Amino acid sequence: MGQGSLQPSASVDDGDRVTRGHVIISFLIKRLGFAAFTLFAVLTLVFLIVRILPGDPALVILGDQASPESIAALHHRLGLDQPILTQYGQFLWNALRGDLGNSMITGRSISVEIMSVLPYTIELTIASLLLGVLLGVPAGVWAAVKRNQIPDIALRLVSLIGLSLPAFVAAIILLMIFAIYLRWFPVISAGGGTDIIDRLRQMALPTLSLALIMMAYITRVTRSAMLEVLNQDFVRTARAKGASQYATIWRHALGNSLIPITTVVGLYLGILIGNSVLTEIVFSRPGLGKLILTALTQRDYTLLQGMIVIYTLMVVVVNLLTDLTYGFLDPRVQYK
Amino acid sequence: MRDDAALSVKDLTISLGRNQVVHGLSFEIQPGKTLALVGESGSGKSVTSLAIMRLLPDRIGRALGSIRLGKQELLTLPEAQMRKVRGGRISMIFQEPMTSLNPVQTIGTQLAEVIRIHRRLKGQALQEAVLDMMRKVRIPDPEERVKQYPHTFSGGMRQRVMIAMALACNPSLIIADEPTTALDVTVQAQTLELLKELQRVTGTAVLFITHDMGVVAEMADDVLVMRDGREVEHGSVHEVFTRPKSPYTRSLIEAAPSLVGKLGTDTKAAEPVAELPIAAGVEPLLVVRNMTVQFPVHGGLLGRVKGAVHAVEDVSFAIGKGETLGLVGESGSGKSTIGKAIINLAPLHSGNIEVAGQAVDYRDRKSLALLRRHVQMIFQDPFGSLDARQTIGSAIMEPMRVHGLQTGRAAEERMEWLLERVGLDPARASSLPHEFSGGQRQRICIARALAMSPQLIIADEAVSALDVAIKGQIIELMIDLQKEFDVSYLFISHDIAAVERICDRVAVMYFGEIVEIGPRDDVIGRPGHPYTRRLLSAIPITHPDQRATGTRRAPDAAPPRSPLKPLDYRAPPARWARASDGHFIRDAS
Amino acid sequence: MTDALSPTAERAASSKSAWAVLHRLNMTTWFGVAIVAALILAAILAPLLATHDPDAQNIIMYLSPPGPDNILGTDQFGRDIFSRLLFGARYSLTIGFLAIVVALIIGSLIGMVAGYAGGRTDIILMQIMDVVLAFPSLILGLALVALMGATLTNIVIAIAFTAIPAFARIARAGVMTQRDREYVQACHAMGFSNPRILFRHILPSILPEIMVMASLWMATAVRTEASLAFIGLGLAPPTPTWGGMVREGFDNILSSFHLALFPSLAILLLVLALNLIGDGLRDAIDPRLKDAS
Repeated sequence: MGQGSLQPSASVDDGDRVTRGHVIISFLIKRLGFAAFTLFAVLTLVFLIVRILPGDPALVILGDQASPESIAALHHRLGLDQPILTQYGQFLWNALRGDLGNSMITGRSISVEIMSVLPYTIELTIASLLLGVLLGVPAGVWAAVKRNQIPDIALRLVSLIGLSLPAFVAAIILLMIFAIYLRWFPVISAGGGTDIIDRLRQMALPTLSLALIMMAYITRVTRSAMLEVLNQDFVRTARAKGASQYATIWRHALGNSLIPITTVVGLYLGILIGNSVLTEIVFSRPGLGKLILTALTQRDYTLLQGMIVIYTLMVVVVNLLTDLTYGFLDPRVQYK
Repeated sequence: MRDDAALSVKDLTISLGRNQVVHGLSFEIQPGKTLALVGESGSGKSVTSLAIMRLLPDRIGRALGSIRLGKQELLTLPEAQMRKVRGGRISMIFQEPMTSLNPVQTIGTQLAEVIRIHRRLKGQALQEAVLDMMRKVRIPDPEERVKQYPHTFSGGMRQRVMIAMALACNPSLIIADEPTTALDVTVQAQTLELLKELQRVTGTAVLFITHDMGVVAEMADDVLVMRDGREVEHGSVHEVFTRPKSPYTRSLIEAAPSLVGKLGTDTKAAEPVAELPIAAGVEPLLVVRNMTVQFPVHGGLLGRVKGAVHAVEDVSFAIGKGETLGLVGESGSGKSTIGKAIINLAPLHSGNIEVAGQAVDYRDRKSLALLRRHVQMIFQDPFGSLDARQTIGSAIMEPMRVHGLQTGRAAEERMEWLLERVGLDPARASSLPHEFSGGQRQRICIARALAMSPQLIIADEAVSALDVAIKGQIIELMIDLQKEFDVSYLFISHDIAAVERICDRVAVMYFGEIVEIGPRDDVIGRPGHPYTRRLLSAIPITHPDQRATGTRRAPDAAPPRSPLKPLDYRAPPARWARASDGHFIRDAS
Repeated sequence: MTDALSPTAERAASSKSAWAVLHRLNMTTWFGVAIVAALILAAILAPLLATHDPDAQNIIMYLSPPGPDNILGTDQFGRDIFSRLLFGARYSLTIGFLAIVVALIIGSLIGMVAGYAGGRTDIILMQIMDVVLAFPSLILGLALVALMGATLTNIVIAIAFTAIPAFARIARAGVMTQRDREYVQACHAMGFSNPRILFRHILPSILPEIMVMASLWMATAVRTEASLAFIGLGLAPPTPTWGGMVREGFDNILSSFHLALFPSLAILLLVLALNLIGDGLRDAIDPRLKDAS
């Protein structure tokens, strides 16, 4: 985790008179600093990679038979005739203002293009996350409590299959069963529409395909975290106090298991964002996935560059939120 | 059998899976009385307590016989009713105060839970009851501390919270499973005192589980000694201590320190001396002068050093050839750090160290290599200090080979010879550490330390993790080897009984400083420094007859010191006084 | 104090010797081993087992359902799906394996050095790892392959790159827990050199965790390779990659779903088997959770 890491500390009684509020703010500044550093590093990397890549973008756009004059004109329009440091500075400055440049194929603003499809991806991701948590946490708790009994064995098998499914395989199987064979849901999920029912029907299969994978991960981590916590001394204390089975499991044990669960949710939310690409392709759903596919097939390097920045930004935000969540869940966490 | 017993257990047999771990145990406890269940690890004492609570592991744990609380049979009670018994009529205090409280709930919430379940209080009344219990166990500032989380409490304070939870619903039985084993000896004394006093007020029966006969002598009315799941001896505490029937009980009783409190304090006033004479008398092998060890503490946004934990503060002492110096103190006193700093495992901030007449230069490779030949170390956990994947023969030969002392066949011969010396069969050289028992592993560690033919061995809590009988054997071995190899020991330990048996001289550590140093009999028998007296008086008594001197425990007058010091901190110069020949006491004022 | 040497500590450490681990593997793990072994054999013996030339087109037989001539049917060019699956196993296994070997070596080295050295070295190395980890691995792999070109070497490099931080982290965490153990202190006390302590004493004890990670990440690598091929960033057609076959089959999903189904099941089978092995190894190495109490 490097410098700004969260560590449960043995004791805070070290004569430190700083209030928790101050400490959290200083921690926040550090994490923001790291987030900014990550974004900066990624921006630099994509800038460099696009520049050192073999092949002239102008040739990609205009084709091999382009005249030297038109190539020079395009170089000028793209700013490629300027010194590399100037280009770099311009690139960073534009990115800072939220301007990721224009597509080298269509000439449209990349920021505008991304913003027009981003809501679809976010909507899909959040819906899958919620569904995955709502199904996965109770399933994991149940499996842990019924360890080595039939519910546990069944859930372990299901979650293992779930996390072995590539997102596109899950999507295709759901598509075959529910859209093609049973015809319950539309084959194509256009994402639009004002009718709320229609919209939900379109979202159902893409959401389910991602939620299955998310649920598999969450079930597993919940189960193992619960098993670990259920063996700890304070759970024995709770039982010795005469607390009911219900209170012991849901209040004492799950309360402590939430910390590793949060870690995994944060980690896999990133993976979920990545996997949404595949789901969007299978269901022909608008979103970042379709856009990045367009960038790839048209060899639109500036668009690709902008999209990588956006993906990084999303993951950085997710990580930041995860870190903050720890503070609410675990009083031992000391923001360093 | 009398009918009014708080708890009566008859023919209790417990099995875990296929193993029967307790065989036909019977005992009873009258209200207001304490029964001590004594045994070493694996004797079945803790399993017995879990069986009474009906908390044996699901599905594999099985208890047969009869356990009656008052007139109620517990073994056949439905789980729902058993829950009302747990925490309500029987409550429990566990060994590990650090892990026995839920880390993500406040102290108040956890205390309130048990009161809410069994006394059905709500709102303001519940709050009042919680605060009342915290006052009863004398937790300072209960209104503040009730809102705090367990990690901000010290071990002793957490154990008080556990006691408060145990007593909150006026149970008829408290089971205390090694409640003070994890605590420092002075904290243990305070905790036991508190427990005894509260028991007197409430008239609760106590089942006290322990391995420490000293604690038994302090607390118990009756004693039941267990070994391998069977009763070895059962009787009143006076009877057992005065006329133990079984040799096993006798060996447990004899393991207690014997010098403490025997010689009485010296009435003669100590005379001040200008300077502490470090290397007294004998030819010194190790001389430590003005050792200071600090660990920087980072803080603020930029991680600047804002202070330092002074683990060791201006410590000086010497060890003679073939001599054993004991370094005693409670956790956090810096005693282990001294041993580590000598051997370059902790950073030396300032000070000089001389080994065999040569100053050690910690920046010079040659000097360090020489230091490592002369000084070796044995650690507390004999399993943890061996590489689990290395055969013990290879582990003993590796230092010889790395330092080029012996190679090939010669190294093998020496390894086999060393194994024999520490009482192990050389034929087992190709075994892995896990095939040996704890005591055998410590023998292997000793053989490995001897492989370098060192002149000094630092033993850091080397026998603390071992059962009483094994502990005695390892100490005997160390004494024998000392004679044979003419090696000196720096014996670091919190265990006064062990120190008493092996050490020639003793130094007492308190907050990073040596407060008293001198010959063993003088320091342990006639302690001069107030801290030494408090430390020694906190050690449990050796016979119940000594209980009469109930008020011997003076509370710590000085406020606890923080080892965290600002950057510009300079320790005030130490002033010493001489009590007798070689016995020096630091001026406490 | 006497309870400090509890049997669990002994069990945990003794439990890691190779034989002990093999003995504790459960049935499902052996099931996974059997599947992977069968797939490796199938890949090696593909020329013998294949009923058809995997690249031979047969326009007359296009899109035929499973039957006596073509066990699993044919694709839109009339190529035999069963034969293509056999040869496709070669690419999935090779790419997954090579990528994980590369990631394991580089990642573990970085993590071990960072964890052992601590301080500034640790901060810098792990900060770099965190930047890499900040990408969703699929997006990172996709971007790398798109920029470098979809050759076997580039795909291996791209997938390895996404897995390096995972190995660095597990190795670092392992080294850091071992670093303060008494046996390492004992090594220091006996004057052993740092490389000796790190590679002769610490590495063997963290290797089991790294190997578990390797089998789990090989599952991920196979999945990532298939996903890349599905997106169109796999080895160029007509090379029969499983992901690519799903991609081609997906175009005909409304009429002939078996085109996409069989390669999908093949991917699922291999990833599932690798996960079974990884899970079983982990349970065997850390039996604490399995038969606790």
